[in-house]
Amino acid sequence: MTMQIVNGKILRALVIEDDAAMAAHVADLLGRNGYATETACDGTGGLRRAAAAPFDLIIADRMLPGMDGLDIVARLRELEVKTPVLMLSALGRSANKVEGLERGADDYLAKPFADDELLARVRALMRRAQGEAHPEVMLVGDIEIRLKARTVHRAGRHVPVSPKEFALLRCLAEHAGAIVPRSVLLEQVWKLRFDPQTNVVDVHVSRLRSKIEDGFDHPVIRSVRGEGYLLEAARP
Amino acid sequence: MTGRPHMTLLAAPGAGVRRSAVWRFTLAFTGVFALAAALVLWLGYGSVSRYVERRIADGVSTDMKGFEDVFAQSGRAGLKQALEQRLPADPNRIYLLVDKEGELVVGTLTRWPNDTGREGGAVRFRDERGRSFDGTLRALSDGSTLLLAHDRAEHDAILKGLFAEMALPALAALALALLGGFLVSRRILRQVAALNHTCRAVEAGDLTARAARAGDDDEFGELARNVNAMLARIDRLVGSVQHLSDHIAHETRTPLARLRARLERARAALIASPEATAAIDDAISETQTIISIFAALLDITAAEAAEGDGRGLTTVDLAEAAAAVVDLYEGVAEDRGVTFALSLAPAPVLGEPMLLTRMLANVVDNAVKFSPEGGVVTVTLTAASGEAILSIADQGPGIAEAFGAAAFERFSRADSAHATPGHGLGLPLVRAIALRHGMKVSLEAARPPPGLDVIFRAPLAPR
Repeated sequence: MTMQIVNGKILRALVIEDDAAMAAHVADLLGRNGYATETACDGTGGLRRAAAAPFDLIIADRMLPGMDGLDIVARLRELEVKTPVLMLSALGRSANKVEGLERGADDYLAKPFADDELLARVRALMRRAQGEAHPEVMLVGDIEIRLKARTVHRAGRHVPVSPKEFALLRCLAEHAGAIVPRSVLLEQVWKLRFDPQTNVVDVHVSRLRSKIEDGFDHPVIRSVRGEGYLLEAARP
Repeated sequence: MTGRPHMTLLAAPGAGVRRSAVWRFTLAFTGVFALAAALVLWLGYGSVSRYVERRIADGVSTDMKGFEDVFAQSGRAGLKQALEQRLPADPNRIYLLVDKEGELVVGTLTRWPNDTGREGGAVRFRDERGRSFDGTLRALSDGSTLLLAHDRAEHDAILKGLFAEMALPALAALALALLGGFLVSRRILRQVAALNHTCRAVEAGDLTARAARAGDDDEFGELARNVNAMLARIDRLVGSVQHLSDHIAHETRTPLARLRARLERARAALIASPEATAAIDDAISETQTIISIFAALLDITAAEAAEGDGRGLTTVDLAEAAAAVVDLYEGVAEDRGVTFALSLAPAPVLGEPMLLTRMLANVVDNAVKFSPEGGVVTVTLTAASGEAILSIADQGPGIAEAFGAAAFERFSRADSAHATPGHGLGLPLVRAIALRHGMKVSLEAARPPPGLDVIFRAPLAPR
């Protein structure tokens, strides 16, 4: 995997996690996705590193020796360090998530998590942090998504989609070439932070899929390992 | 907004002023005081009355002694002279001297009072004008009789004057008793009201509320201390339950997270073997199931713990929430040949939007899951007289009446549901969220049967 390079710089990530196995796993995962990763195994050390070095991303656990991960975020924000922070936590209640977001974390992920979900959330955080101006048109392969007009064309042909299907396609397009887990789709498209038992997402995706794939040669939306969906990026 | 103690002093919520104990206590206090004062006055009256009577009698008998001395020294002529000197002195006094035959010698009366004998001693009589007199007779050694008497009105006038002077102080004392009674009972009941205020705050979910004046060295201080000790204990218990569940969650999630991470790494390393990858996918999905059950249990506990806690609630339109959930499930329903019939009136309630959506999603999910092909799920929301009534009815098998209440228990599943996936945590979560929002939820047979009708009754948000 190539390094993640933005504006000529390699992206650097700090993982603050006291569980060595988890820290290694997250660091490895980010490393494989092109981040130069550093780990800290306690709260005070993590805070010191985060404040001292210009990281592009911080992934912090909540229950750390010495400090609550949320206090690290709060302290960093006081110090005007604006690095995006993804909280990881074994406290998985929805109330904990709300608290985490309220206290300055940019996103919150409950343990255990799927690797794909962590990556999807990191991608979303980075895109937001880089302040990427929303383009007028998103082009993914032969798919053309016009954001203002809210229309979809494939190979020049207009594909009528419902507002929800449009939001779904747009979210997949933002992560084009990578897996977007259902939970991320639920959150981005339906603003839901819980898991409906029936796979409502699947039904919506399959409708979108039939609209965007029927009458065309190759499929563009893939279901991946029953965990999420992937919109094929442009073929080389 | 919560009422300060003093606002609820005279009229506790739900009780009119009429029922406030302040007035009852004040009136009782004043009544007892007035009775005691009346008793004291009555005894005082008798004693003063006797005293006045004795003083007048003493005066008369001193007079009599003086006249007897004059008679002894100067005879009847001297006595007559002495009496004549005294005659005009006092209209309330009677001096009368008659000779042996009863003829008037000198006196303020023209004749001897009719019904009065001539023996010595005390007499009481009326004169021709009806005035009542008390008097003393003395038979003198020459056969004449001397009568000294005084008008009883004199005695009555003294008492009347005395009581006229006492009326104002008595009224003032009564007013003071009324004021004192009011102040004392208000002070007492203010402390009771403060305790009630604390209890209501706790009931509303603020476990950190404590009774004031726990330092007072009296029964109220003791009561406040006892209430506070009790609240501290409740707070500790709730805290330890939450602490424990957070720890269980953490301690369980951490190894599960590692397990999952290792499985993911193994899967990444095993791309070449589809069978092994599938096995690991299954293992990963099992860890997800375990964690889902665990998270649902924690969410139920959290919603139950937050029951009655109004903090952090915002106004949510149930109609919008229900429409969004139906929109979410429309596709699933269509695939199963199930349709929705909606009738939604705006119904603002106080709630946590995400929790309410989750609650409705659970019920709609069940309704769609248990609907037969071609079935209709009817969602009806009405709002009237401060209450929103939301009904979500399906045409599925419904639930046996015997199962009824047990449907809300954790891990209980109806016999008819065993073919459908689930862990029996959906309805318990639904109920916990409903209770957390002050809603009532009931399961009823759909009309017309068959089917299940889940009915929520929610208090509308104040405008």
